[in-house]
Amino acid sequence: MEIAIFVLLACVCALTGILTVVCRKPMHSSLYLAANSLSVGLLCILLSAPFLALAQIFVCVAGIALLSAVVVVVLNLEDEPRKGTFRTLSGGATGCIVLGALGYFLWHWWGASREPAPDVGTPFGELVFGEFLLPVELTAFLLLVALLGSVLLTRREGEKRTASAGRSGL
Amino acid sequence: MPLWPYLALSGLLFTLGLVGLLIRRNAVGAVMAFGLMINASLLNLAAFTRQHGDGRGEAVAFLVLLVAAAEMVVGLILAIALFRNQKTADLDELDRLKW
Repeated sequence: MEIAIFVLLACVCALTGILTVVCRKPMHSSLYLAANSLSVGLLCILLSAPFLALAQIFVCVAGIALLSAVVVVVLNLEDEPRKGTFRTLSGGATGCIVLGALGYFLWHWWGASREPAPDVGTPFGELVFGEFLLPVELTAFLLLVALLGSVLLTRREGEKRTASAGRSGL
Repeated sequence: MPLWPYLALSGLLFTLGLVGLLIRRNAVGAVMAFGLMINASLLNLAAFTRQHGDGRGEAVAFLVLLVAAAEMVVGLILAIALFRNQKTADLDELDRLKW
C-alpha cells in the first residue's frame, strides 16, 4: 500500500515538476508549483514527518506558490517567448550531466537498499524549543529582516521622497 | 520501504529546478524553478531523517524550509522591483551590472 501511494505521489511530483519548468504561461507554472509542493508535503507524511508536511503545505503551497500567482497577476506577465536553441540545449545538457552524476552516486555509494532505523529521537517540540532554540531565534530575526527588506524594496519613489522629507522636517 | 526511491525523486526534482533556472527567461519563472530545488532538498532531508530515526533532521529541515521561503519571497519582491524599473521581467534584458 505504501509503495502504491509513493508511486502515485512520485508520478504527480515528477509530472508537475516538469510542467513547472516547461510551461510557458507563468500563471500555469505557479499552479503546477503549488501542486508539486503539495505532493512533496504528502510524501513527507509518508516519511513519518507530519509537522514538516504541514509546514511545507502552509509555507510553500499557501504562501509561496500563491504569492507567485499574485505576482504574475500584478505584473500582468505575458507568455514567455520561446527559448533559443542554444539555451535549451545547454540547459538540457547540464540537466543530463547532473542527473547522471546523481544517479551514479546513488547507484554506487548507496548500493543495496537499507531499511530505516527505528525512531529513537526526542519529540520535535522539545528539539525546536530546546537544542535548536538559538537557530530558531536567528531564523526569526532573518525572517524579520526579509520582511523589512521586502517592504523597503516595494516602496515607490514618491513614497521614499515623502518619507525622507518627513524625516528632515520639510 | 527503502530510501533510494525518495533520493532518486529528489535528485530528479533538483535537476528539473536547475534546468528551469538555466532556461527560464522570466524572473518569476526562475524563482519558481528555485522553489522546485527547495522542494527537492526538503524531500531529501525528510528521507534521511527517517533513515537515521532521529528528529534532529526534521528540525533542520524545518529551519531550511523557513529560510528558503524567505529567500523566495525576497526573490519575488526583487522581480517586482525589477519590473517597475526596467518595465520587463526578462532576465536577458538585465545588463546594468554586467560591465
